[in-house]
Amino acid sequence: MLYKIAKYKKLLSLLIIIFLGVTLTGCWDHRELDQLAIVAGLAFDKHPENKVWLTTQIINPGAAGSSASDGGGGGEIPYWNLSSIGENVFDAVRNANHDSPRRLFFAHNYTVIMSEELARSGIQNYFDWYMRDAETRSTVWVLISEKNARDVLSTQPKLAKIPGLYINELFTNTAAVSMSPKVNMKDFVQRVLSDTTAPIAPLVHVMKHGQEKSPGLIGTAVFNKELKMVGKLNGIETRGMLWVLGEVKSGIITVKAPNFKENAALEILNAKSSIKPLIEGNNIKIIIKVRVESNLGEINSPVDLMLPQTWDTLSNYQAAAIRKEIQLALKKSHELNADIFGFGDMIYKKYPREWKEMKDRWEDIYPGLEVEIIVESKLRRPGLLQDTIKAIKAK
Amino acid sequence: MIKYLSKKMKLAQLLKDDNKKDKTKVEEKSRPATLSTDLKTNLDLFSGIMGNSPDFIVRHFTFGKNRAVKAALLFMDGLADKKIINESIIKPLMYDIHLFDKNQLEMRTMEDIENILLSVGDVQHEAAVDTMISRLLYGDTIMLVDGYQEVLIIDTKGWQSRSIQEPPNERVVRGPREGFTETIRFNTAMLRRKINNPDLTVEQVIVGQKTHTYVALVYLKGIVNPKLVEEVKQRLKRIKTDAILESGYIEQFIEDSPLSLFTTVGNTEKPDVAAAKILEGRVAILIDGSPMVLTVPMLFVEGFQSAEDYYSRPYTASLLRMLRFASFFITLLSPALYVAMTTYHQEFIPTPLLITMKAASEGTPFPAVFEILLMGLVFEILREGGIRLPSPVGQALSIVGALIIGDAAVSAGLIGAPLVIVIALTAVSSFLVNPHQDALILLRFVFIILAGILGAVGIVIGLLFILVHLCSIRSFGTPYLSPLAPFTFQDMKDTFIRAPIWTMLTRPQLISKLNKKREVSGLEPGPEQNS
Repeated sequence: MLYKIAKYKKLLSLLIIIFLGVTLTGCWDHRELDQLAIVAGLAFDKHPENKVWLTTQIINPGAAGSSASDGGGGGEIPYWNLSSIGENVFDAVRNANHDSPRRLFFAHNYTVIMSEELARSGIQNYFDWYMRDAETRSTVWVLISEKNARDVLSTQPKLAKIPGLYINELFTNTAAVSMSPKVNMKDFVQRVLSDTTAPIAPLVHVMKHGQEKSPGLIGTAVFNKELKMVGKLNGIETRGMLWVLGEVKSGIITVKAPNFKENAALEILNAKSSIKPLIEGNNIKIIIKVRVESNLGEINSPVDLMLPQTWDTLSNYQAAAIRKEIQLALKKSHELNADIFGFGDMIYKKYPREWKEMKDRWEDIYPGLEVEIIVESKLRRPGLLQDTIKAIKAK
Repeated sequence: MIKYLSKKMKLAQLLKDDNKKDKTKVEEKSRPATLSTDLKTNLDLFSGIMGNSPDFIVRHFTFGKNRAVKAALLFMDGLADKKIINESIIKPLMYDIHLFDKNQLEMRTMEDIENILLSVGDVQHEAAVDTMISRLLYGDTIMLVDGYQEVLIIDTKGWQSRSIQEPPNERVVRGPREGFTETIRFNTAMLRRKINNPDLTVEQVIVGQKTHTYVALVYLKGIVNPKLVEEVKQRLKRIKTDAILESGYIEQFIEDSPLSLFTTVGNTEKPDVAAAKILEGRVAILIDGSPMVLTVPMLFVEGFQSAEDYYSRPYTASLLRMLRFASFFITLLSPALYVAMTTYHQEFIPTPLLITMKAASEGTPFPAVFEILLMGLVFEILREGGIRLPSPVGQALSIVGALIIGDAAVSAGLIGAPLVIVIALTAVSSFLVNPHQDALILLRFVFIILAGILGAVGIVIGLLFILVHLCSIRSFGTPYLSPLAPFTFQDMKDTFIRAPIWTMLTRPQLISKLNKKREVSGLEPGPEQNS
């Protein structure tokens, strides 16, 4: 046995060296679960002295965890909002850490909210730390709140009791309406890095249902290249923008044809878009092509659904409705002189030579840019009923 | 450090030299090799050798014409079947002999006794005293006749033994229920009943200088690689020890990597499993006194195979096979992953789960590594206790284990509830890969510590070490990780999945090098093909 060990002398010494190397370096990255404070949301508000005013939402796992199982939670608020002020973002974060008995943990943060007031005064300095730090995730949602950002984090929504997580769940559900853009920090910064494209962020506001308050999403905040908020798109305008960006996943289009008594609802199944710039001489033109497929979702007018003309009519009105939405968004973006659609980047990609001399004049060109909208609309299936209820009754 | 090792090496060298000297010293008592013709002298010799053990029985009697022939029967009480001795030896000699014609009573030669009188199946002439002694001690009866140097050895083995039962360690739902017993002869018989073929060769050797234990090699001529048989015999011959009490003794003397945690010698309690291994070109080693039969070579993947895989239909069998591979990793890594995730990589965990786990670990006094080491240790204690305790107490043990350790430890705030799930999962899945159980128990703790020090990086380092180690060891000339490394495509049909029997045309390639073909192709059942 012993001479066998001697045979493995080299291996043994190697093992010992590795073992020492592993053990003597210590565990600098080690942190126990119960020593962590999980951050679920950050809110930045305008500070009167232009400092960074940070509100950090920390999950209170006792209340949050128990609410997951028994639904009650004992009335304890499942989160704790910690307010801190710093010279810059990291300073504010460290000050928050100073006030927290446990180490702030940012990997599970879902939301960064900034107040409109702050956004209008410029938020250029608010992204560097978050993108630079190793623990934070660039997939965090960026939102602009119409009132104070900290108030959004102090609501007590139902179902998901922590506002930070609640907003995350709202985003997974926005597809059903497509009236709010999904913008995470990576997308936002990508737009910031572009020469012409205007950064956008969804708007969040506090909804009141009697006593209860919960965050709600609708509309879009638009920024200029200095990262100052310049305006807002409402829900319909936002969907107009999303049509062009090809980000409409689902939603309801209400159409009212003149020969129908009541309006009809069409459910979007699938939408695709393409943006093509075209330069002819001095004339720049953007061609937007949107292809939409939808199902008939609801119809109350006594029309004959067996007739192809009915479907053609509905389809045409759907195309018109979508065109209208896009035009609204376009009009707003021209007014704000903010290239929310990324037309500039498209021209750069297709005509890099022409773009060079066009780049500096883009602000002058954009408001008068000619845009052609082509909507190809298809209506697929009538659902479970082949006729309207009134028509069935008449039979 | 190095100095210490070289010192050890010198010591080892000394021990080695000692060993050499030992080998030359053959332990042998001087006793005459053959008997004399005088019965009395011979009996004195035997009682001299046997001492005055109460179970050594000497039966004197006379027979023949005028009762002139003096004879004696020697047997061991308890080992020999007394019914055979009474009915088939003593009765014919003392009673039946008188039924013959008086003129024919001249039976004086050994041959006459053997040929006409003894109604026992196995009777042999023997002249060597050593053989007599060993046969006597193995339950046979020795018949000494005055005036003869030779004796008759009559097979009267008939000691009490356990009947054939269902092996408790390898239960099957479908398949034969019989298991090996402690008697080597029954065991070889069971193998013969499975493989009805004269090529099934049984070679017997005696190992153990004090116990003289019978060890049998069983293999199928024509399929087995003769080099493998030679190698096994060589290794068995090497064993110069006083006692072989169980197959485990042999295993530890012949295995390839004694320092490895992984076993390179397989064992089974089921004749059908042993037969299957023999049919794949392996050698089975049967040890008298042990119901565990060793099979070599043993590959890593054999630990994931079960007899029932081959008896049930291939789909579920394949699923179960993959499940066993999965549980190997679950039982090896899940406590380590728990430690790594909760102390280093909290971002791995989905947020709702993290919140729940954090809520559970809130207020627990110890770090996760310590908690899981503690619970792992408690589980091993319970497991070992469960095996050793008499079965009525075992009930109480499971209540203590499940309720007090599991539930109460959580409600007392000593550990978090998710940890109990991890430990339970680890424990249950470890039973799916029984053959690798020993290695897993130790490695699990190693991985927990590695994960506690380095997190996921530590786990990866550990896995790499194990992989390199597994690649480096062999079992009787066959790479341990084969057919995975070196890769053999044909054998993939019986590794992660169990392909239908009619597609497994070859035996394991690296084991049965000489005779690979198992069956003809095209055995898939189906409507008859009209050509």
